[in-house]
Amino acid sequence: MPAESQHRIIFQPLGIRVSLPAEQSLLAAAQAAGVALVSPCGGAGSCECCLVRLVSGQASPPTIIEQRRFSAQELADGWRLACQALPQSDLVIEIPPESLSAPQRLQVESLELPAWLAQPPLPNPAFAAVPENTPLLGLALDIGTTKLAAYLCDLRSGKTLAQAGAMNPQTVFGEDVISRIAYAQARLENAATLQTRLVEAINQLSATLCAQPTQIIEIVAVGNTAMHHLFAGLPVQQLGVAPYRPAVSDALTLNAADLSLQAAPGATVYLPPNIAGFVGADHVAMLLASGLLHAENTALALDIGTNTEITLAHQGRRLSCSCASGPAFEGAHITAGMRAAPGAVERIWSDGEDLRLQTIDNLPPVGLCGSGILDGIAAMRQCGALNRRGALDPQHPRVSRVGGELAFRVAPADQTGTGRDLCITRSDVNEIQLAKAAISAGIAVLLGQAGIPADALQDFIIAGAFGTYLHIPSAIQIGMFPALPLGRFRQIGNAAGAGARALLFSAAQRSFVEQMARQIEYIELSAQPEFKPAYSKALFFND
Amino acid sequence: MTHEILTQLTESLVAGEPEAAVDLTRQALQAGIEPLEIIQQGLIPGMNIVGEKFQSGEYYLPDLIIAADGMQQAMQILEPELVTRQQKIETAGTVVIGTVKGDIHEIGKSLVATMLSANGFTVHDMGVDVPTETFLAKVRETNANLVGLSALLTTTMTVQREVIQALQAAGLRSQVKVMVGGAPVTQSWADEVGADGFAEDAMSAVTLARRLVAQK
Repeated sequence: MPAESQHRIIFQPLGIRVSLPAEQSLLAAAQAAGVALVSPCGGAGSCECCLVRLVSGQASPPTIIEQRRFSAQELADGWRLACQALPQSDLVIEIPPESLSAPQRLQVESLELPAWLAQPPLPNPAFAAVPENTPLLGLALDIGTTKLAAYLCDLRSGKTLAQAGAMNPQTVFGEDVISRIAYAQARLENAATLQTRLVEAINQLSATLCAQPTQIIEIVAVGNTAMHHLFAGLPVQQLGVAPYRPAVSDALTLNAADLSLQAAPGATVYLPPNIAGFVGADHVAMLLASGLLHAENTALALDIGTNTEITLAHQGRRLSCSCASGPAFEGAHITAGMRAAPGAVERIWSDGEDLRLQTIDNLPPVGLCGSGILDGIAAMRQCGALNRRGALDPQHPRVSRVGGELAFRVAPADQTGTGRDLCITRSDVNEIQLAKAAISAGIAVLLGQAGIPADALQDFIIAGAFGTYLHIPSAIQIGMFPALPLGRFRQIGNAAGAGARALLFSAAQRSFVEQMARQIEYIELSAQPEFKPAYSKALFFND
Repeated sequence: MTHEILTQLTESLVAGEPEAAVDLTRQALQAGIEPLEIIQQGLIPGMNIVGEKFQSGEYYLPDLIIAADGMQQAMQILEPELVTRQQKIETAGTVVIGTVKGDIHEIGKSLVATMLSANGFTVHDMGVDVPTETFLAKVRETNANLVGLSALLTTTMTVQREVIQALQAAGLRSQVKVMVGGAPVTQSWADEVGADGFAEDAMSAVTLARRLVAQK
């Protein structure tokens, strides 16, 4: 427990947490947490660069410097200079992108479209009205719960001209889907706030990508069902209670102008179908781009997040489910957890004698992102520091008591960017056990429904940001994935974005996904009697 | 004298081997040991050791879930045997428990239910997504003195208040003590919705249930 003079500070949208004494400024707190705020004057209050916004909690009253820097309205909105403000309670702080000297790694890299997806041009009648020498631009959007990715495409050639990423600005209103739904229903105006902030961020991305967003004549947006509904202005309340029904499952075509999106007059926004409340249009787009919708062999595709969506293709059937894997692989609920930002440990391996680390941008480690935590647990198993139940061996040289529990030292204080040991605690192991058991049980239930063993899977496709960077042998080692030959695994990056682009170009692909989405059998895991035994069985590690 | 097989049964729960627990329960029945004795000298001591290890920080949630899984499977074998022998477990209190309407999270609620039965409570587990009216009907039918309401989502925890208000409206509130739980639930939430108690985890729920029953 922190002493009473300690305050817990959460920096959003990075999701980094730190506990600090009250007499230290937010800038000092950020530095201690390894958050790189821009502060050329070193905290003297003269450069006025370290802008942050107080989302919740109490801080010291604005100083004269801040009163000069901000308008009364800005102060009322919570804007502060990090070097001036001192915490007076636990705080949630939003860091705007311009205050970060090193941006979080945003995943926009994505597979180039296979020829078969990019080929048939969209027979859009609106095209005819556009003069020949004017570019025909389209925008594909992947609206993630934490991240946005945008792709500007030439609709004539099918080429991606530029791409950009940003944080989803809704993050400060709730980190996960459920807390955002709760926020949206708490007050009448909240859903509109969420929609407005999202559209503003998308318009900023369009402006970054092209000089004249008014040349964009076609937009495709994919997201999970909650993001889809908040973006389209659909009610989300029913997504927060069982049976989590979408307000709209079918594909939608909306006017860009109605959503206040910057685009050509008459431009439309296409939203592919949703499968269920927790299996959304982004999953459909991923299934299209990964080839799973076309697959004739037995294959499985999944995207790991707070909810992990899984689809199995077998003998013409498509079975989908969503498992509550929790945010552990996004760094939340993990003592030293963080999102994939500079200084995050992304790989841990043993060179036979000792552990080796790789961090993002090769900076001294400040925390662990998802792939680092996964590798860390696998390494702990391999070196005998962790037993099959998840208990740490107190005799192991890297294990010691930290606070009330045993912890495994990944890096000693003199090598980290925080000046403290970087550790994985017994509680962290517990979080990963719960997460991997949910994923493993979801896979097991789908295989059970199809009546096939795991080794019948010819193709095991992993999409998404964490999925791109995770080390497959570690995922097998901890029992999250079945022990298939490594050649059957494919890590395909942000396939939802690639799917969105395919749908931008092709009417045939649109009708194909609409038809396929109707045939997908959605399996509600909690209603399956075999789920709980499978989950319970997967909680421990393999022998 | 304790049978060797019951000691093994206790150990299988502690070791996190639910399949062994099921096998040993069957073996114990075949060896002619009374089901009540299997429960009281095999299963309950096992769950108590697991509970103690959880509270001391040695065991974590997976250990508790796996042990409870073993206990539940064993009880499924033993319950019909109790019925045929017309044997009853002496009860510390009667609990109606469930996850509220709109919420289908099962694991935490079932864990509390199992730990309560392992500690001598008669537990009526109504499952998940339980309509408010079902809670009321079961309280009337069983003359329960405890109600446990689980909610795992910020979007469904408000239903806990609805159930408490419905108990009040039906004139059943003075008959029962209400406990609330679930990831987003806190003591201040319990106070706000007028519950009699809140517990952080399955083991504290047992302590709380004992305390609430003693108050009556």
